[in-house]
Amino acid sequence: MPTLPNGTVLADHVWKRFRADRSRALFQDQMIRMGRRLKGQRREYRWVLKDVNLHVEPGRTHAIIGVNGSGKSTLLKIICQTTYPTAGRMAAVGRIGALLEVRSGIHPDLSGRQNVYLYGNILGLSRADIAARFDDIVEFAEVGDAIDRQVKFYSTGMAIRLGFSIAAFLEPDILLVDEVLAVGDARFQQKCLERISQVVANGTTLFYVSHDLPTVEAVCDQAMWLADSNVRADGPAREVVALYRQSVEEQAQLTSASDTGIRLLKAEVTGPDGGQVRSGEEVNLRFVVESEEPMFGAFHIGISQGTAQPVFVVRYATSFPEGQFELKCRLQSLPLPKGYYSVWTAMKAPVASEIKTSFPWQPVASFEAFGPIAIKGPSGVMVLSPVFVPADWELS
Amino acid sequence: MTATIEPLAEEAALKVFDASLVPDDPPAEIWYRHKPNLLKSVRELFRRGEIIYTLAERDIKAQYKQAVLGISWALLLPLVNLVVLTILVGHTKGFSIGGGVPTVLSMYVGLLVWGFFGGAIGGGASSLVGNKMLMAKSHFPRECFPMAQILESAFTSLMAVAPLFVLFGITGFGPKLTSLWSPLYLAIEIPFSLGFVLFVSAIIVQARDLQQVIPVVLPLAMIVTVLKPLTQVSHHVLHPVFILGWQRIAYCIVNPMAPIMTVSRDSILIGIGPQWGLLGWALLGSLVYLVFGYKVFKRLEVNFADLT
Repeated sequence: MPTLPNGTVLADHVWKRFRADRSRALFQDQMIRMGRRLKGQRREYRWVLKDVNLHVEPGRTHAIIGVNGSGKSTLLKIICQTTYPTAGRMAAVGRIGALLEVRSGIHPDLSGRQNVYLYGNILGLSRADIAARFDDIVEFAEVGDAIDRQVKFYSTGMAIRLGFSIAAFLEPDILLVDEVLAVGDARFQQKCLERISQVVANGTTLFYVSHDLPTVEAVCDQAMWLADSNVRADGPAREVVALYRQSVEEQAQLTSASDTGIRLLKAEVTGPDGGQVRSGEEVNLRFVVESEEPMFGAFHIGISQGTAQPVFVVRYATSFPEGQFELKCRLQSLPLPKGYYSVWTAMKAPVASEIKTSFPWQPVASFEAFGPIAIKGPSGVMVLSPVFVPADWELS
Repeated sequence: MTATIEPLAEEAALKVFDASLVPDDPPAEIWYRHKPNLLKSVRELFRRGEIIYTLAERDIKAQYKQAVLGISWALLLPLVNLVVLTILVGHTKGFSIGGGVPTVLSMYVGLLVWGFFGGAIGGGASSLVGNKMLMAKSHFPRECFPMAQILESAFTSLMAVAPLFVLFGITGFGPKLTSLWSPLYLAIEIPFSLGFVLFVSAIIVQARDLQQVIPVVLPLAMIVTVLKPLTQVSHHVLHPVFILGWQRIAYCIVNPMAPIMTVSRDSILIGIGPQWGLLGWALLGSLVYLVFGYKVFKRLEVNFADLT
C-alpha cells in the first residue's frame, strides 16, 4: 500500500449494514436472538451504505448531502473510524477531529479547561501541544473566565462554541462537521465558516454534512449526494447540489393534488414572447385554476431553488370566480442568475372568518433560466439564495 | 490494497451513478473480517497511553468535586465494609489467621487487597457504556476506558491505606518488615483485575442490563473472598511449593485473589516473606485472565460503536 499523505481520505467499496430487528443490547434480547440462531433462523440486516468510493486529497472540502436517513452520518462515523465498515476498506490518514453531535464529548462535570485537555488527548495531541493552542481556543469560543467553570453551567451556545473551537483549533488533518453550524447565533456561524476556510487553507481536509445547501456551496468544492444508501452523484459541489435540488423538486411535484374544492390545472413559465426565460428580462407565469365556488383569497407565487424556501414571493389577493379561470402574472425583470428554479404556489382564503389554506405550498412547475452565472462570495461566506442584480462599476 | 493512486485532477468531474447497478450484497472477497492482533493493539495502546491518565484524572476530579466528603470518600467504603464484616462475623471465633493477629487487622488488609479489584470492576464494568459520547468522537484504543478505571482504583486503594495505620495504632499491633513485599502482590493482582474488567465491560456492551448484576454480586464476592482465606490459611501457610496439591494449584489459577490475599496477610501481619509457589501459580492464573479478557474485548470491539 502506498503511503498516503496526512489528510487523505480513501474509501474503497465501503458497505455498512445494521441489524434490521429492533432488539436492544439487553441480556434477554441477546438470549432470544441466540435461540433464533440455534433454530437456524437468519438474522435480518439492512444496508445503510452501499458501495461508497471516495478519494479526497488533503486540503479538499467535501460535502455529503442527502435527505435524512440516506447514510450521511454513518459515512462520517466510518471516516472517523468509530465504527467499522461491514465490507470494503476505509483509510483516513492523520488526526481526525469530529464535530458530530452538539455537546458530544463535552463532559458536564469538568471545567471547560479540563474538557479542552481531555478532547485534545483523545485527538492524539500531547498536553504540551494543547497548552500551545489553549489561549486561541478560549478566545475563539468567547467563554472568557467561564473556562474554569464546570461545563454544566454553560449555556447551550457556550458549550457549542467551546466544542467547535476545540475541534477547529487542535488542527486535525481531517475535520468532520455534521450539521453543528445550524445552532448558534448568526454571527458565530459566520465566524465558524471563516475559521473553517482558514483551517482548510492550512491544509486540513474538511467533510461537511448539512441540509443547508447555501453553506455547502459556500464552503465545499466537492460534494457527494447519498440517496437510499447509494451514492447518486459525486463531483464539483455546485453541480451535485444542483442535481440534488432538481430531484427534491421532482419528488415534490408528484404530490400536487388538492381536494379542497379548488385545483390548479396548469402552470406554465415562459420568457418574453413565449421564448426562453432569461435573467433580467420579462417572465410570464400562467396558471389555470378550477374552483367549485367563487371565493375571495390570496394567490401566492414563490420562486425557489428546489427547497421550500423561495428566493422571493409575489402575491395577488382578489375575488376569484366560480369554474375555470386563467391567472397571469408578469414579472418585469427576472432577478435570478442562470440555474434551475421551481415555482411554488399556495392559495389562502378566509372560510367562516378563519384563514384556510385552499391549497398548500407546493412546487407546481420548474424552469431553466439563462443568463450570467451566480457570483460566489469570498471563500467562507455563504450566499443564501442567488439573485441577479445588474451593477454598474466605476473606478477613478 | 496495492493499486497506485493517481492524483486527482484540479476539479474532479461530475459522476452520476445508477443505484440499480449496485448489487444487493458486496462481493465476498471484500467483507470485513475482524482479526484483532493483540501485539499490535498493545503497541497502539502505548502510543496513546496518555489518554488513560487523562481519563483517570477526569474521573477522580469529577467524582471528588461532587462528593460532600471530598477525597475522604475514598476511605469510607473500606471502613463501612469493615464494620459490616465485623458485625457479621466479628463475634465468632475461627476467623483468626493465628499469630496473635487481631481479626480486625486481617479483615482490613483483606479489604484493601479486595478493594483494588472490587473498585476496578465496580467502575470499569460500565466504563464503555458510560463513555459512548467520547467513543463517538474519535478512534483510539477502547481499552483505555477500563484501564483508566484500574488506575483510578489504584489511587483509591492507596488512599485507603491510611486507615490501616490508624488501626495499627488502635490495636497496638505493628506491621512486619515483610510488608515491603506488598507492591509485588499488587503487581500480580493488576493483570487479573485488568483481564476481568476488560471481559466484563465488553460483555456489558452486548447486554447492558447485566450492569445491574454487578452491585449485587460484588459485595457477596467480597464477603466470600475476604473471609474464606481467613479460615484456610493455616493449612497451607508453611507448605513448600512441591507439596501444593493439584487442587490447590487449580484453585490458585482459577481464583488468583485467594493466594494474593493469603500472602499479603502473611507478609504484612505475620512476617512471612513471599511464598513463591503460591505466587507463581497466582501470576499464571492472573496472566491467563488478562490474555483471555483482552482477546474477548478485542473480538467484541467491532460492534461497540453500533451497540452503545
